[in-house]
Amino acid sequence: MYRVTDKDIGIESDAPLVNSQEWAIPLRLVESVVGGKPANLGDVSPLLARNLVTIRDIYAAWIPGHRCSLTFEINSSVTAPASGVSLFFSGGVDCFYSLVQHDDEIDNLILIHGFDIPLAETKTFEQILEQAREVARLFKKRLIVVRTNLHWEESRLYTERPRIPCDWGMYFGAALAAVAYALAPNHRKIYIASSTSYADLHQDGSHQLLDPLWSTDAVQIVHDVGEKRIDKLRVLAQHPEVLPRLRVCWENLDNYNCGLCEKCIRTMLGLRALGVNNSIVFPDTLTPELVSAQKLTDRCVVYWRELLDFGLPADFNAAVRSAIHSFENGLPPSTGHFKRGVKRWLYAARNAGRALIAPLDRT
Amino acid sequence: MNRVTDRGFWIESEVPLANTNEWSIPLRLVESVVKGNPVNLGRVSPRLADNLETICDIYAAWIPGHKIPLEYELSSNLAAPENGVSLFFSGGVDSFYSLIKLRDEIDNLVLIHGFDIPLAETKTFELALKQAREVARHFSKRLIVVRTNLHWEESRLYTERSWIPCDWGMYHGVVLAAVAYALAPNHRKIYIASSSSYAHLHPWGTHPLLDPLWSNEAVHFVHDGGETRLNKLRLVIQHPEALSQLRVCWENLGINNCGLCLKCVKTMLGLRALGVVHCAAFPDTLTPELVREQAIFPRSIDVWQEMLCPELPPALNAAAQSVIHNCQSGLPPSTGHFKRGVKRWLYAARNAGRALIAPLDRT
Repeated sequence: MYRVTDKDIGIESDAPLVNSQEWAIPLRLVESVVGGKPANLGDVSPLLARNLVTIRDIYAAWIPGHRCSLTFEINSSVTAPASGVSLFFSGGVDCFYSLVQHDDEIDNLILIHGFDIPLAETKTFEQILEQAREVARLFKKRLIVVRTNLHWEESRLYTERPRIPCDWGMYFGAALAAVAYALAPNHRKIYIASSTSYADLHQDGSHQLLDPLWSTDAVQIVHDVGEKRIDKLRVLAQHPEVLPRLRVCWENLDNYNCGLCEKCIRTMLGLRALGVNNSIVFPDTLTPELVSAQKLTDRCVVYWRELLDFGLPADFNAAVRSAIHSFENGLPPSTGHFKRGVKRWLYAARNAGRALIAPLDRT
Repeated sequence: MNRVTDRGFWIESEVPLANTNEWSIPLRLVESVVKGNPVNLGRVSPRLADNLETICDIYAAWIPGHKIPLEYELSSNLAAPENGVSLFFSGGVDSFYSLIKLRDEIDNLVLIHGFDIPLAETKTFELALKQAREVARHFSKRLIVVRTNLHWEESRLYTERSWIPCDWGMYHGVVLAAVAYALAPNHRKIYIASSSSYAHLHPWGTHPLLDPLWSNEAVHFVHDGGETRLNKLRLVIQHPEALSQLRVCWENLGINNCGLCLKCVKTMLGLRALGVVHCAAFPDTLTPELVREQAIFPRSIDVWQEMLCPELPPALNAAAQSVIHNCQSGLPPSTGHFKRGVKRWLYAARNAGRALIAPLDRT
């Protein structure tokens, strides 16, 4: 087992890891942006050095944080280039799509324990590892398993608690860059599967604007922007070996996919719209009532709009429309229960009251 | 006068222009994305060829348009890059900020007649030209003046009409790329001043994601900035010679800044927030009443919120808050007139009615 550490943060793997400290630069940079303290980043490859100020400015705008001063030494031999192409692999729709699209080019799949799945959740991770091994065997790729405490800190409680300096949604791009650097002896290029299309530019730790800026002279980082989620599912539907191994759920329950969370439901709806039998990978939970009861957010409503009028049965299409309608009108989702109905009318009365007195303009 | 032409489009300047047809690739590409027709782009340099598909995907997602098959040949005899660094210069806050920040690196300022100022508006352009000459002299830069009909079509009417295939907000980046290629004998690198900060990115013709993709072997494109509008102004006001030459107005009234349009009001408000009470570039028109009359787009709310600071006089602060409030509440701006007051209450009643019946959920 190889291991790299920086302060008390570590990354370990059976695959060779770098012997420089460049891997920790993303973590130190983001920590400084959040804390507002100057950062000394040590030796930095020339390509990365050119982009560090832009990365800092983007993080400072997005987290939001501070434009801290950066000190570093440019060193062209900080990390030796290797050969090989990798893909970060979690088993979800995006990375399966990237795997299928770049099958000819990809050599390694990288599965990380300690990102979305806390280190303490060994049972869930074992399930995923088993499936990832199977995928690697099917696609003839090498599976690189990485363990890290970048995200979760061991605590005295039963579960671990996050140790990251900012929201994980914003931090995980820097964490992916750190793992990509640590694994530099195994690749010259690494794909990060995009979770959005070009039409959706919301701020995210892994982003089409940000990810390529982390590239160094040894490791090129590619944010693989693909198509809309529904179109990715259409591609995957043509690969029957992929579908039974899809894992989209972040609930980390004993089930591979819970079939009840928003991510599971929208994926099940997409497959249903494409005429694919859901039961091979999801429990049989999908009903119009469950769909309309989903509480959507700014982030996920994009995927739900893709599902509208896309070939879903009429009752499911109406349920999708209802979930979007509730979100757009600031109402709690409809469950069909009396109490929820009353709550929705109370919310509507509040919203109407606000709209009615808006011209008073108490500014 | 040198001139390049393609199917009725032309660019002319007194400086040397490229003798290949690569300059018109951006126009042909985006026209095809809009219309959905396959396109043959002719000879393309290898570096640009690598990015063409991505550019096409981005435009297809943002306009929105069609993903089209691209045909081209890789050109083998590439022109060696020339010396020189240019900046597109309109005299606005963004281009002044980039000029001041990059003054040691920049050699040429590129001013385009036919971009925001139609070719027929000679009086307005003469003013802009006079100011640009003054700025070039002060900063010891060479001024390159370009005339083009890429945006405005000469018509039999008194004014010209636009003949671009899509919204100018999305197309102007294409025209800048075409001009930068046409001017290839004058530079190896060109800066495009950003119009949005990293915190508020939205699909736009010039964008940190898009601009660098236009780079080819001869011209390197850099999207500069990503700063907030107030921070840009903060730098500009430290240079009185720049501040007095600001031109932000697009009204083309034969004066530099009308002092009445949304762009003028926004800039004057920003200057006032920074403690600049009188600025030679603007008439003294800023009043709370004028501010309250402004109608803004939801995407501009962040820029306006940025200006709400303790340094802004309370009456202007309240007026700016009122503008934001009206935008968020879906109300027409307040003018203080009785008729407008009635209209605002009617809008409010409509909005309240919609909010009240939202739980009926007629999906």
